[in-house]
Amino acid sequence: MKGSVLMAVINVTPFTDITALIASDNVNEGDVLLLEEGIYFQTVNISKNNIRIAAKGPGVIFDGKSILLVAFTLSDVVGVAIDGVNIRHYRVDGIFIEYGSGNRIINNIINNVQNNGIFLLRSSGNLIWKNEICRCSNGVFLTLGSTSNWVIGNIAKECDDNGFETEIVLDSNNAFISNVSMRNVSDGYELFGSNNLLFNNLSMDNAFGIIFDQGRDSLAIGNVSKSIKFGTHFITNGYINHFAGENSIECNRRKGIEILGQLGMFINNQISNNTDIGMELTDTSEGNLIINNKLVCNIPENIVNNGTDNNLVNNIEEPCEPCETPNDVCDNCPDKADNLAF
Amino acid sequence: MAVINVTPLMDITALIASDDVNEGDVLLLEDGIYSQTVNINKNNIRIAAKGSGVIFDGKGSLLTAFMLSDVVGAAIEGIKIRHYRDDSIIIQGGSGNRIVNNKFNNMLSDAIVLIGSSGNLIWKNEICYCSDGIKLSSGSTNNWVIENTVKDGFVDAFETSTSVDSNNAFISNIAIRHRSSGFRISGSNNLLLNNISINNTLGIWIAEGSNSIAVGNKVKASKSSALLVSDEYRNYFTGENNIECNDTIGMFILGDFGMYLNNELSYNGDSGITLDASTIGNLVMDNKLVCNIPQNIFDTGNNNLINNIDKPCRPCESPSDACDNCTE
Repeated sequence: MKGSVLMAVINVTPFTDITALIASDNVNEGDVLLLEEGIYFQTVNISKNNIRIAAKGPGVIFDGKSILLVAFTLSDVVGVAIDGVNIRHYRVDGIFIEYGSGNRIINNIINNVQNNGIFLLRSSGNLIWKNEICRCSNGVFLTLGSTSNWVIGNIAKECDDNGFETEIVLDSNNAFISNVSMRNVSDGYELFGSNNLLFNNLSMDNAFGIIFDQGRDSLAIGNVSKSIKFGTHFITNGYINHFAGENSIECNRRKGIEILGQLGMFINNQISNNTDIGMELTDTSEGNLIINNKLVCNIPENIVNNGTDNNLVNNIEEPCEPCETPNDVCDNCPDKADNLAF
Repeated sequence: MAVINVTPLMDITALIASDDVNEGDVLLLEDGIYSQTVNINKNNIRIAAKGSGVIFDGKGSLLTAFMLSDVVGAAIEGIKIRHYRDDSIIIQGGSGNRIVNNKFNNMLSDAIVLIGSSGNLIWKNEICYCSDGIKLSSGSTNNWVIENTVKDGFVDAFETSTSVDSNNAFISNIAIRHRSSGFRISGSNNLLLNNISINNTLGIWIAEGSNSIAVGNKVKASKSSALLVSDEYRNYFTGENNIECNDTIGMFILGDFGMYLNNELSYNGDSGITLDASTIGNLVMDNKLVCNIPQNIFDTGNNNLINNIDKPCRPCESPSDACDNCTE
């Protein structure tokens, strides 16, 4: 056996000072803190590597009562896990990872925190999986050089700002996979930085959908955008070598894809029933390849190309049928009834 | 920018090197058999097949079909490649390149090789009868390997070969019938998500490094272990993997401080999860283990096991009963 210390599973109650417990000699790397159900009013600072905090049942609630700032802070740690915890009413963030790597934030439910649900600052290689975030400012927020993080299977809805965000150009090589972003006040996904991947995500009923800003080489594959109010899939001027493939962009109130960037590739996307042009290449766009896309009944036009030297190859363009409008199709969108419930 | 029609009679390397081709141009390949090696030495050149009959045939004598050296934003799309003596597509020192929708078969070496390359997309390729299918080496990082199918290979289907091949993602790929591993992953923080490994000698082999992740993968009918985590590997994470009907051990864990969460392991022929005597600090939690023989979990290390569902075989039941009906 490599270690002389036996790994332990330590039962924790709402009366335990978890920060002090972790800092003590009673907790070692690899130990599991198993949280009993109940309401915890505390901020937990995790200062050791490989500490695993797991809820024993669904009723583990961290409630900041709008007094405490952050539920969990992970500073400069590796391999910490937080699993199955409900977090609510903190004044700043739900979970804050600073200079951390290889941490696992899983299956938590975060609502009504005043800033970010999950906040990564200069952190790399963390897994953010299957969390549900509601009514925060941003859902999952990466900044100041957060790279190579895996953000998978999360839901962010009804946030005051963005569902998912990489904030600056240094936030690169992150993957957002199979997430849902709904009814957020600003963007579904706002991505600064290079080589970020958006794969199989849903963006629905956000003010803006997917925004690529500052950087290069990022990719969007297999995403669905519906019922977006302003820019649905927007590539900013100066963004080079964006790749978009097999995205479904349907029933959005403005343009489907708006390309201001250069040297991108747009392949096999389905763009239909959007009510202000299916795909627009603006006058700043240059050298983009638009190939094998299908555009159906976008009004007033399916494709508008005002750019320079863009290449359009083998796209299928179907106008609306006589007397057809996007409304005919989109009024039957299933989220409409859902919206009425709120 | 231009769309340039290309036929099998043209020397594509010379064309790209000429002043007739500029960054952003599209080379649209007519159907036909091309017997040549293409060196791409300009950024943002897009090579796309016009139809389904664009075939690059090395005829057992040419080494490589496409060589991308130190380029950015090149694309190769919709091409069939066969019978090259070495690797069919090599990306060396490249980034932001897109290898999409190609079909490879019968290469003497590997189909797609990345050497010291970062941020490339390898998407929807089909590879058959090669050595390795997709191989990343010599510090290849942050690449996206998505929805490829690799089968009947002579070594590994998907591989990151050294400890500096890190931060790569393998998503929704299929690896079938390889003589070695379905996925052989060295390096740190590599992601395996929603992949399928069927009928390979070893399903997933995690070697050298730390912090890699396997979520939602399915491993079936491996001849050896379905998932092997090597000695000294730290902080490996597995969640919601389905590991069923493998000939030997479902998960064979030699690493330390890993997390094994919500996996389903059933009908494996030499225990469901084995934690070696050398292991320390692994958390094995909320897994479901059904009818693995001789036992579902075997832990001789210093680990934490919590809330796992452990169902033995029913009377007179054996893994063979369930697995003989497995379909590929």
